[in-house]
Formats: sequence, C-alpha cells, structure tokens
Amino acid sequence: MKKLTALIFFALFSLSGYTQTTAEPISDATYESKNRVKKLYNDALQSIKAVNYSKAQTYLNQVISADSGFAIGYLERGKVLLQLDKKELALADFNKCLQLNNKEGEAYYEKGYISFLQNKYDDALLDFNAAITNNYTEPIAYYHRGVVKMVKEDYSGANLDFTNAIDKRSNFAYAYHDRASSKLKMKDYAGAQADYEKAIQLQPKFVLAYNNLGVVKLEQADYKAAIASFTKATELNPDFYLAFNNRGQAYYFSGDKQSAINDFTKALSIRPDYLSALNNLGAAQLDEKDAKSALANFNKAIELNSQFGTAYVNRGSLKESSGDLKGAYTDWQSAAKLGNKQATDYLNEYK
Amino acid sequence: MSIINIRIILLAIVFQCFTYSYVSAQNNIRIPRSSLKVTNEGLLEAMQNVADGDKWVRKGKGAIPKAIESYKKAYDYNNNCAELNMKIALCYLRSDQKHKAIDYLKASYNKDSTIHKDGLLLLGKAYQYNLEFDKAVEKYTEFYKMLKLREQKKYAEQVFKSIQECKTGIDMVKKPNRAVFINLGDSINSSFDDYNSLVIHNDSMMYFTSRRPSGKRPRPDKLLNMYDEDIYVAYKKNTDWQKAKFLEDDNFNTKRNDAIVWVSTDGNTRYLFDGYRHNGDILVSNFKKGKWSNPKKLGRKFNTDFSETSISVTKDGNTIYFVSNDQDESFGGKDIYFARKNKKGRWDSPANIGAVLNSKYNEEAVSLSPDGKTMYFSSCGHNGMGGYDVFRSEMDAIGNWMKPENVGYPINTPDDDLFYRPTEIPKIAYYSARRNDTHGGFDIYKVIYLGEEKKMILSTEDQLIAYFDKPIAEIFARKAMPLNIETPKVENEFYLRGMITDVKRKTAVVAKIELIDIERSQVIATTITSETGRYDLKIPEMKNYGIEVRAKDYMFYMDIVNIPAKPASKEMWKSVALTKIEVGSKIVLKNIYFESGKAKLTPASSTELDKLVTFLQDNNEIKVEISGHTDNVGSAALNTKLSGLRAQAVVDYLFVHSIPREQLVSKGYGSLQPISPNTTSKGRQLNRRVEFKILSKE
Repeated sequence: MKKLTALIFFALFSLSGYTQTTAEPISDATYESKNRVKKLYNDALQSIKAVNYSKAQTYLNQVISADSGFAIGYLERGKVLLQLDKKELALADFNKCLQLNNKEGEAYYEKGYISFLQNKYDDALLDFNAAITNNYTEPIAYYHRGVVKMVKEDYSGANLDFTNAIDKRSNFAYAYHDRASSKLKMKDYAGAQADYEKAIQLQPKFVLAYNNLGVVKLEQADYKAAIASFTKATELNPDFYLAFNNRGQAYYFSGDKQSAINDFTKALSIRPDYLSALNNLGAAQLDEKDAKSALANFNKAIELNSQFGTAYVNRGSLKESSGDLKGAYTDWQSAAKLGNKQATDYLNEYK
Repeated sequence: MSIINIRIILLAIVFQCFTYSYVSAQNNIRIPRSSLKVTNEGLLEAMQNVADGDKWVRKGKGAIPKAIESYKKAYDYNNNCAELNMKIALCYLRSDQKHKAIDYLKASYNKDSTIHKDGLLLLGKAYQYNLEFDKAVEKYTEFYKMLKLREQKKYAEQVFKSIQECKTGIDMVKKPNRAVFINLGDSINSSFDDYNSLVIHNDSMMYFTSRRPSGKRPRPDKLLNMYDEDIYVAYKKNTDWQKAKFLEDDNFNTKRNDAIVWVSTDGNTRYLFDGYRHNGDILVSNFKKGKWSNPKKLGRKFNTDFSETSISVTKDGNTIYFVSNDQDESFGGKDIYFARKNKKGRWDSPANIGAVLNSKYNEEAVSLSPDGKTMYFSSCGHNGMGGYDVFRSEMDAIGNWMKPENVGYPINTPDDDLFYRPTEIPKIAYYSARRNDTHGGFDIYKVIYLGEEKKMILSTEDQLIAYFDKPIAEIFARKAMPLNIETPKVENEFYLRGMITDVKRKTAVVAKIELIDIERSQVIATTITSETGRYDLKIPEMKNYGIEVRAKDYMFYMDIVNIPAKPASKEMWKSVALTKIEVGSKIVLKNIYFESGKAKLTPASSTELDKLVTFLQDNNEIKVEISGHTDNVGSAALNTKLSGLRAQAVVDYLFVHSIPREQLVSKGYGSLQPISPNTTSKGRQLNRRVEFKILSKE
C-alpha cells in the first residue's frame, strides 16, 4: 500500500511539472533534489537564451536523467534538438512529453512542425489543430497551420488562420503575404493586393511579395503594373528567375513577344532546367513564327520532365499547325493521360 | 469539226471558267517595228523573238511557257514597248503565275492605254488573281466607266460579276479556313496537269487523271499543245504515297484520251469519261470474277448528245449525280443532274437537281461525301471569288439539298479550284488547284482541316507561400517560464533604495521604478520616486532582479541588480542618473546580444529591444542613431563592417516592429569610439556595445 501511495505521489508530482503544490510534507532531500532539477532546467533556459544549444541540451539531459517524468523537460530538450536539426530525436522527446502530459499544446505544435518539414501535411494539420485546441495560440502556430491549409488548397481556412496570426502579431509580414496569396487563390484581387502591399510596407525588400503582387496584376490583365512589380522583384534579386518568367508572361500577354522572349531567356540563363520558362519561351517563339526554336524548347522541356503536360499540349498545337496531325494527336494524348483537360478538348475536336 | 477538236474543247471547258478569250486578245496585237525599235543593234533579233513568241502562243496553252520565254528575250532588248508588255501579260494570264501579269499590264497601259481596249479589265483580273481585291474593284470600275453605253451593256455582266467576286474574296480572306495544304509531291504530281484524285480503301489507294506524256501518245495534241489525259494509280505505304503508275490496262488507258471520274467506295466500279462519244459520255466498268469488264456507256438516260463530264454515286449505288451541259434543262452552262433507281432496280429518268445548286454559270466536278449527306461541287456561279470555286451543300432531313456554301479561302482562290474529294477520314480531303507550289498546271493537294486555332498555353510556377521561399521557424516562440526555486524567505525586511537624478543637472527626477523577476519576466513591484528623487522597494527574495526606470522626457534605463544572498545590512542602494531626451543624448543599450562574430540578434535581445520600441513609439518626434562599436581586436575594416551590420540589425528589428525607417539611422564605428581602455577583457567587453543617440527632436 505504501508503495502504491508513493507511486501515485510520484506520478502527480511528475505530471505537475513542478507547478502544483502538495500538502504532503517534503523531506529536505526531496526539497534539495527538486530544487536541483529546477535549477538545471532554469540553467538550460538561460543557455537557450544565450543561443548555446549544446549547453542547453546538456542541462536538459541532466534534468531528464534526474527526473524522467518531467514533461516540460522533454519539451524543451525537443526544441533544442530541433534547433540542432536532430528531428527524429526531437520528435521522440515531443512524443514523450505528450505521453506524460497530453494537454501540452506546444509539444503538439513542435511535432506538427516536424511533420510539416517532412511534407506530411495531413499529420501536421492534425498536430497544429491539437496545439491550438490545447491553448498553444502563438501567431506562428496559426501561421503554420495556414500554410498547411494553403498546401491542401483550403484557401478560406488558410485565410482565417493567417488573420488570427495577424491579430496576434500586427507586424507579421509573412502572414500578410500568405493571406494575400490565399485571397489571390480565391480571386479576391483587391484584398490580395492590399495584403501584399502591407507585407511590402513591413518588409520593403520582400522580393516574393513584389513578385506575387505582379501576379495579382497579371490576373487583372493590368500588364503595365504587373511588369513594374516584377521588375522591382528582379531589381531586388537579379537571380530571381521566377520573376523574369512572370514578367515575360506579362510582356507576352501585352503583345510584346520580343520582350517576353528576352525575359524567358533570362530566366533560363539563371536556371537552365526551368520548365515553365522553356515552355513559355517555346510559346512566344511559335507566336513569332520561329517554329524550329519553339519545337526545340518544347522538346527540351519534355526531355527534362516527361510529366510536363503543358509542353506536350503546346508541342501538339505546333505540330497541328504544320499539318502533322498524327504527331499532334500523340502529344495531346500524352498530355491528356497526365490529366491535362485542354489536351482532351483538342483531341475531341478530331473525333 | 473533227473528233479531236470536240474532245479538246470539252476537256478545256473544265478548266476555263472566265469567259474572256485571252487567245483572241493575244492574236490581235501586232508590234510595229517602230514601237519595238530602240537601236538598230538587236532589233532584228528582238523581232524574231516576238515572232517566235507568237508562234508558241498559236500552238496552244501548253506552249505558253515557251512563248513567255521568247517574249522575255525581246523584252530584254526593249522593256518599254507597250505591245510587247501586253503580249507577255496575256501569256501570264494563261499561265500558272497569273499574278505576274500585273507589272506588264501596268507598263503597257501607262505607255499606251490604247494598246488593248480591255487593258483595265485585264489589270483588274490580274489584281483579283493576286488577291488585291480593292485594286481589282477600282480597275473594274474605272474600266466600266470609260465604256460607251453600248459597250457597257456588253460588259456589264462580266464586270459586275467580277466586282462581286472581289467583294466575296475580301470577306473570305478575312476569315480563312484553318487548313494545311500538302502538295502530294513528285510521287503523284508532275509538271503537267494532275487532277481529279479518287481515294479509296481508307486513304490507301488513289486513282487520278494526268496530262503528262505517256508511252501511248508521246506527242502533245496540235491545237492546245497539251498531252492526252491518262489514268494513273498510286498506293500509300505507311504514310507516304508511292510513285504513281500508269494504269496498264488497254481497256482504260487507250491510245486516245482517257480520264477516270469516279470510283465506287468498294473500289469495284470505275466510271470513265469518253470525250469521243456524243460530245462526252460516262462509261462504267465493274470488277467481277477477278477482272475488269470492258467499259460500257452508262446508259442513254445519262449520256445524251450533250457533254457529261463528271459523276458521283452514292455508296449504295442507288443514286447518281452527274454534270451535263444539256441545253434543254440547264439553268446555264453545265448543271448537276441526278437519277435514282426505282423499286424495280432500274434508273428513273435523270432530272436537273434544281436552281438551289445550279447557277446560270458552269457547275462541275460533283462529289458526294462517304455518307452521302454532303455534296461538294465546283461552280463559276454562286458567291465565288473567281474561277471555279468549291461549294458544299448539306442534305436536309427530307432529302433536299440546301443552299450551297462556299468552302472558303484558302481552299478557294480567284483561280480554278476543282475536284474536291472528301475522304472517309474526317477533316481530310483532296482537291486539285494551281497553288504557288505547283509542279506545273493543276496539282493534287491533300487538305487537312485543323481544329480551332490553338493559343499557346503559358505555364506558371507558383510561389505563393513565403515560408517556402525563406523558411521561418519559431521554435522558441513561447519562452518557457523559469521555475521558481524555493529559496529561503527573507527573515528580516530588505530594501532596495536609491536616488533618481538628471545626469547633467544632478537634480532630482520624478520617475517610475519597476522591479522585475527576471526568471518569470514579471514586474513584481512598482514605485514612484518622491519629490527628492528617492525611492524604496521591498525585496521579497534574496536573488537577482531587473530594474527599469522611466521618467517623462528622459531616456529609459534598464539594468540588473544583484542582491547578495547574505547582505551585510538591510538595504542596498541603486541610484540612477537619467539622460534627458535632447539632441546629442546617448545611452548604451545593455542586454543586446549577437551570435558570435555575426550580426544576427539572439532571442535574448528582445526584452531590451522591445523596451526601445516602446520608448520610440512614445517619443515618435525624435530621430535616433543606432551605432555599433567593437573592441580593437582584429582588422579595423572588419570591425567597422561588423559594427555597421549589427547596428543595421537593430534598426531592422525596430523597423519590423513598426518604427518608421525615417526615425532611424544606423552606423558602425568599429573601434573608433571606445568608452573604456581595450587593455583589459572587461574594458573590451564594455567597448563591444550598441549605442543609442538622439539626432534630432522636432
């Protein structure tokens, strides 16, 4: 019976994370032992504060060695291990923490973050949900859950999470940026523009925000504004091939095919295996009656990635216009097998 | 009229829609010696060249290229002779390159507008051939206005028809078919007329008619200087047509003119044109028991004393459509007729198909689609754009043929476009025309209709999530709270006491003092100084505390107070001299930490920086300089760079936390402004600092 009481006491003590008080008398030895663990833990926090994670890990190892039921010890050590890029060990600590205290919201968050890093978005979403349910309501938790929802194409859900993150941290540029992106996906162009602009106001060198603001303008067929925004992005980062490709599109749709060709070519000079630019360059070249170069670029895109449906569609269209219907049909069939609806429509024309 | 002459006229009609006689026009032009003469030298030779050209023209259409060659030699001698220019122009109008007549017509007309009374009409026609419809209309109109009333009546129909053709042409060219034309190449086409392709067996076998020289009649006829028609056959291997072969069968390719005009879908019935009987009759031959029967006349009901030149038979063989110039029933020129088999399996009498399809001009080259629901034919009437155009008519639900539609440009041109043959493969047809890439005369082309014009699809690679551009992680987003170590209680009361004064004036300052439990990041006691600047704070536990002092118009102050575990007295003094907010005032920002050797702030800096944010928000009228300083260890240049980057990192933090950039300036001084000797480690530590200085106050 005495043994059972001792076990219960130990469990309560451990689960409490030293935050509960007990009416049981504490012996001097227990008192000292308890204080020693606390001190080690506090020393670990100081080391974390001083960005000395190795030292922090040493303290936390000692904490856990002294008290294996100390839930937040595992939590903090997991965070330190994660900082040291030891994800698997960190995950084990977060799981241990939750095993000891399944209400520890922060452990769910960290666990979710590891799943997120490993592209396990369903698992990440479950853990982020659990984190927030268990009162871990830091802006970053909402932000990461929003990102996962974006990846899963739940744009309205993502939008709400980014809004929560912003409510909790009014200068959270990333949250503004990504909320803008969720609005862009939902075709709320005015809202997207406002949020991208806010992100830029908070981070004036936010290259991606300039790029995506350009995308908003591209969607609105405001090619002049789109070109200006993409240009700003390329000025801030001259190696940002994505912005060159996007500006090329803005030029293309505004009818300036030669400038488009220049930009697609520039994007490819930065990243020669950039499929979108290869395809787009081919498209612009075909419009400029340079079918030979266009075909070479479509071929190269397909050679680099045989799953690139758009290049098949365009190559098929090129072949069709030259009278090679069999070739066109074969390419469209390839694209249709990859799920390209446009290719299916084209094939139907010849049924 | 001889048999030969009849045949030639019958066959020639098929390829001549424009009623103007270039032949007679040509023969009427004489070139006076005086008109040709430029110098004596070369004159005789030029005159001989003109005579040669005239001779070739008289030999007929087949000799036109040679006529042009001869005239061109004379043209080299004198290119400004109105008559010679006209002769060359008329030759070109009879050639495969009709548009080339334009320059010669213009030269002739400009030199002497009386050389040919129809000069403007011909120029209009040349422009029309060249798709310059507006200019063509202009010339036709000009021509017509210059005519006398009596002549206007003579030319009215021709001129107005030509103008209407141009208007149709303008519309057609604006909305071209999306189609590609594939010249079937040397395997099928020759430098002579090749036409009337009949493709069977799922686009794998073709009969056609050609006027190329054959072994049976190696010389051209005497009137047109063209070779007889013969039947050729070609087979497709994989996707390519193999070399066409002369159909070696004396029943079909005789020593005379032989043309094939239709083949049944199963390939077992051939229909032939015989220009030697009754002005042109249709013959038929069947393939039975492994051989072809002798071609026989299709029947008196079909073959009249007039000319029957083309035929199309439905797949079931029960309906025949054919072309005849039967003057009794015609709406004008050649018309389409039809006949059906009755219940007894005999042909009813043929009847004119009616005015919906037949115009007052020639119809020719009738051809049914494989399902028999669409009829294609060529016509010089309806809304054509010049010459024979191909038209299409659909059969309605009750079997009537609907109003024909022009199949459009570029299948149709102002020249003759004939023998349009749809195939069993949708969007593929064959037809005969003189296009720019002709091998000579009519060539056979494969027409492939394309679907809707395909716009190029641009591909976009989204990067809409900032995290994926530059990942952020806040592993220590929520700072863990230090645990309260149960220290012995203070048995006797212990106080922190001190004076708050102005650093320059040494006068008392009324300030708010906060005592902060560092481990918990909590304010545990607050007090206000007395008028004398004194404060007293009761210390609950013997450990280290943070202290923050704030006063209106003064810069904030933060520090750590080390309370001894076993104090010698009951109090400890901590006096603070505050710096007034005024231009030039500066303080060292304590508790700002960077990663070693880098300009990256550590999380531990946030407490001090957040206080600075609050201070700057409360005093948004001041502009400050954030300066970085180092000790004198290492390269001066690197120290200056590092101190500058660290100062900028602080400025970036403040900016991100909503402090306007205009309020902030960063500067790195390196080791230039020490506040302590660099000779000791403590001195060097003090020198490694970030300072805050007020630059202006508005």
